[in-house]
Amino acid sequence: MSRSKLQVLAVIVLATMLVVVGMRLRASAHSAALSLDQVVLHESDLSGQVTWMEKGSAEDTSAADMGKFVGLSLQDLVEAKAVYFAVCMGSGSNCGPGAIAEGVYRYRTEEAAASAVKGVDGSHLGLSTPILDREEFSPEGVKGQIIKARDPAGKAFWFVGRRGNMVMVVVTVGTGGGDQENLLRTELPVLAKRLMEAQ
Amino acid sequence: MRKTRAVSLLVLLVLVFSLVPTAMAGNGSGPSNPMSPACSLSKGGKISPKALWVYTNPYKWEYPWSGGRPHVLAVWSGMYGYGQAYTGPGGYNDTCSSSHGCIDNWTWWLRYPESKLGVPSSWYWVPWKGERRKLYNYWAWNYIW
Repeated sequence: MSRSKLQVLAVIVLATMLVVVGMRLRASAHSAALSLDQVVLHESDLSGQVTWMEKGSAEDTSAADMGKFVGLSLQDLVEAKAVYFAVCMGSGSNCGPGAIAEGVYRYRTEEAAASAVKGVDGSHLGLSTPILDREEFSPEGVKGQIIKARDPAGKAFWFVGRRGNMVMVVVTVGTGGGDQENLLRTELPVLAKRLMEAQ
Repeated sequence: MRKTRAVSLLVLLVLVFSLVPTAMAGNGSGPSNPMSPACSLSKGGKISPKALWVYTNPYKWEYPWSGGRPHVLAVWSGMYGYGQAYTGPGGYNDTCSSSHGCIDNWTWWLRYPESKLGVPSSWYWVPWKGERRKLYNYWAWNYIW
């Protein structure tokens, strides 16, 4: 083998090694950068959308309770995180009182996540609250559905979606004003994008 | 002996008849015993209930805007509300996770002409705890005319 051929081969091997190492570093940087704490809804996500907010107590914010309520299976779950804010949706003193919450669930495998969301067909949610409407909705590649349900204080809009081995549940509850559905639809693309980054 | 008994009975009857109408008429500022109804003698001489203390549920929610934020109030139609209780899942203990402590520490915003109890917002609005938003899970004593 000539010297020039060896040089070319060495360059190719070196380049391949660099690409592989680069990809690994990038992947590890991603997974290190986005823990579930970072993926879930933050106060800053709500600025401009709500007039007032107050974070719910840790005691009342259980990802398991939220998931079970909507009919999500928690089998093969690796980790989960939920946050919840009491808010006033819209602007000014005419804003609508209520709340927004998000739960993020990381399953062992994609299949486990797919199986977990199968139970979310509205029937389980319907045991505690009458279902008014269901609609397929897939923001930023997170395939899911919006379930509109009655709530003792007004209405609740639930979104349950999956991407890979991750599942997200987002809900707005309130007296049923237009701002309530708007808030959900405005926040979903932002939250869905972050879910994808956490893959 | 028989005479003494008769006199005692007569004295007792006089006492009873002199005290009962006073108690039934009330003094205009509510009954002294909050658990007993206040009554008055109508013209026809019949005793009719005028007002009473009842242990009831609130009849509506109000969400007033005050101090730069919305609030949640449970509203009873009666006056002078007190002795509030929550009978939803977890009962009294469930209320203790609120930012204002357990339900007996929650504030009565108004006691006249209706009774309005402040319910901590971040406790009330937990989406998957709808029982906290059902009026029939709340109880209090209030005075009805």
